[in-house]
Amino acid sequence: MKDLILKIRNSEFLSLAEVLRLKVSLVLIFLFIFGSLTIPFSIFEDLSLEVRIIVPVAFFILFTTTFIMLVVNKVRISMHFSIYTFIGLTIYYMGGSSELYGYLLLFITLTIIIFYQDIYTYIIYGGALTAYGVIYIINNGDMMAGLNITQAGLSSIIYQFALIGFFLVFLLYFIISETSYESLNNNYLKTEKFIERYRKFTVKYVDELNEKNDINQYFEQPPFHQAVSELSVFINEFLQEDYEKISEVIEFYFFLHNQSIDEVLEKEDLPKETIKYAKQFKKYLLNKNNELEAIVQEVAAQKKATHTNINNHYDYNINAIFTNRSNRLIAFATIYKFLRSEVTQLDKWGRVDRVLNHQEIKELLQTKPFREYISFEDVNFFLNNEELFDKFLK
Amino acid sequence: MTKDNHNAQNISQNRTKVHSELLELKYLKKKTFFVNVLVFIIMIGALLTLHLFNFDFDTIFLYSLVFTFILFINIAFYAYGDHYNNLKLAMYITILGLYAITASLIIDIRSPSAFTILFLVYAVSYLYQDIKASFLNNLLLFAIGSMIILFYPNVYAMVGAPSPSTAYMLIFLIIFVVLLFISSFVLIKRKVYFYHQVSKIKEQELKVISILFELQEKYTNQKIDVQSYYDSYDSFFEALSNKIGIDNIFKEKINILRDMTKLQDKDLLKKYPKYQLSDLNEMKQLELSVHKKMLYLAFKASQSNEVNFNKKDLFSQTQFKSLNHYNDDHFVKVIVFASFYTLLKRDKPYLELLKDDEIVDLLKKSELEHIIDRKILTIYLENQEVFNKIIEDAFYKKVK
Repeated sequence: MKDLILKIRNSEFLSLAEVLRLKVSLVLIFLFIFGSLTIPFSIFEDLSLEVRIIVPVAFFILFTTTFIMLVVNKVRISMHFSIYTFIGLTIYYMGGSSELYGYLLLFITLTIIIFYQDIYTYIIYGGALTAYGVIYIINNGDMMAGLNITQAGLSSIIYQFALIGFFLVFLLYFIISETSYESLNNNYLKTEKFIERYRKFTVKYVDELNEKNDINQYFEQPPFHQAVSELSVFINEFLQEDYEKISEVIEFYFFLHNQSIDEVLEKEDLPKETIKYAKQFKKYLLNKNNELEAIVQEVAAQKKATHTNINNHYDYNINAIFTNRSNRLIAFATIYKFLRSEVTQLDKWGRVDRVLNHQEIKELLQTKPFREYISFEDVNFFLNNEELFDKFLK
Repeated sequence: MTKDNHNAQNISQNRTKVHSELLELKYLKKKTFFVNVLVFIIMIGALLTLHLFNFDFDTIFLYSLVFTFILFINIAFYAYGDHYNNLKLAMYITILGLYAITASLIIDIRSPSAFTILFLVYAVSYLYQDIKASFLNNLLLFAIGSMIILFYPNVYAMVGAPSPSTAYMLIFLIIFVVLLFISSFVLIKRKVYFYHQVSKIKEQELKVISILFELQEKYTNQKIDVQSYYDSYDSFFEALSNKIGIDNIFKEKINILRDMTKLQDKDLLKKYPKYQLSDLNEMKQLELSVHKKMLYLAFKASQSNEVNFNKKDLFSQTQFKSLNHYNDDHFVKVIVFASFYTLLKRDKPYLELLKDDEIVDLLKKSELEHIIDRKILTIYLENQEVFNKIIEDAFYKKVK
């Protein structure tokens, strides 16, 4: 339970799969509470013996299936079964003698479906449930009108208005979330890809600098090997895991640095455990631009001080940054000059050592991705005056 | 950490926060628009229902007045400056107003059907996706729902079916509210975190480019020659002005850019009286020695053709670079943490070695602690001296 609360509190740090697992676990807890509070009373309801037996048994089967699916890591199937269980309960209550409870349970079941945040699941199950609720009210509206109502038809309309409204408002919520999520997601991913590209440059510079200064790579430095081994063994002692095994795994980790990891992974004759470790270590090797390197570079970025604070800090389109045409032209001149005089590309040997020439810049400026920085109008201006750019800004 | 570094990091964190709020504002505007459309539809529905139930004109007029007030507040707050705080205030007023109307409607209509309007109002307020609004939404749903259940039981008394018991109705309400609260809590936390991540990665990008420039300097032993840029502008804009037959309006601006590194804003304004502070602020983005914005932009642009991304990738699947992937073996997590720690304790061309208090500070203030196995992290935090000793023994003992 403590773990569950901790997970809810830190839910933003969980992956999609882990969040779904958390949600199903929570729904299961609610199902258990709800089922134990209500199902036993079905025995006292004015229902046939078959129904009185079928209801608890069906609930038990559906609940158990949901639980087992969760345990065996079939989380999506488990999610569907949890919805079926709630739908079953709703239909049972609406069909029994507790119409209003059943009707309110419709909203709870819709909430459960919304909780899973899957638009298609919501449209299919939520839509069907809403339709069922509306049909139910059309047929049984009189019965649920209430003591003080003289116009049962109006009461029925309010029921339908609230239910359909509830369904449609949440549908709208899904649409708004999906569209804004997609745009932010693209923004995030694009920046992430740029950073990945910069990281490639950083790794290359570091390699070149190390080579220049005659510094071995980390995995080739015996003290580094020693430190990692001793730290690992020390941590492992606390966790009381197999001592000999960790020593073997450490050796294998360092051994992998001298191998082509992809070739190792392709070898069919290797034991499964070796492949497993190779696969898991791939993202943590010390001599590659991988996840471990990315995390260390993230630390470096966090430690990096930036003192300046200017407007439009994260805008990269000169037309959005500048209101003044002459400022835009100076900005454009800077871009050209930078591309023309600074190293920005990898050479044919993969070193960061190439400067673009005028023709290459001209082509680059006209590409679609470059519209994020300058407009067509700016490109036309460039094409009309390219000889000046070529002559004075190199 | 030096005071200077602290200040710089505060600037950076503040910038991320402001950008995050800007993102939130952008979507809050959109949501405010939709909520108002829904409020309008509910208003039409409610007034029509009251009319059909033969309520007197004064009652209907009073309801229409409250609805109009809500819509008016939203429009007014939307129209005036400082959108962020205004829209948030309008959001709280809308939620309070909607629940007040609903409570009144339920008591006036006295039908179980009216009780379900509470859920509809809940759904409308849910659209805001704001943590405080969500708390208010759940609190009001529970407070008004239980008030009606406890004090107005005849509201849900039935004709053709047995009347529900108060206790059962309360259980339903509690389950509903708790579920909704947890659900919105999880979703909103993730959404806020997402805004924060998007802002954070923008800040990170700038810093990574800045690190890259420093590495380039180290590698080539050369700084970007900013003066050569300004000198090139002089001749370029002179030729351009001649070609298109206008006065060289750029010359003065280029001089201002040169002066920006030497003079304060007030001195610049004195020297160039034609310009205002807002003009200078815009021009700071062209300055290349201190602000370097255009150099960062140009470098990013130079990579634009090399970067491809798949729109179908989900943020959540790519966001976590982690040392604690749930399917990684226990030994892998241990060895990788040991490697990570050792890397932080070594000098690198782009990051000086960190002391343990810096590492702990980093772990506590950043999201790093969430990407490390909790048990391993606790072992480190409780045995920092031993960890440090192992590093010292490995790297420095042999030198002696």
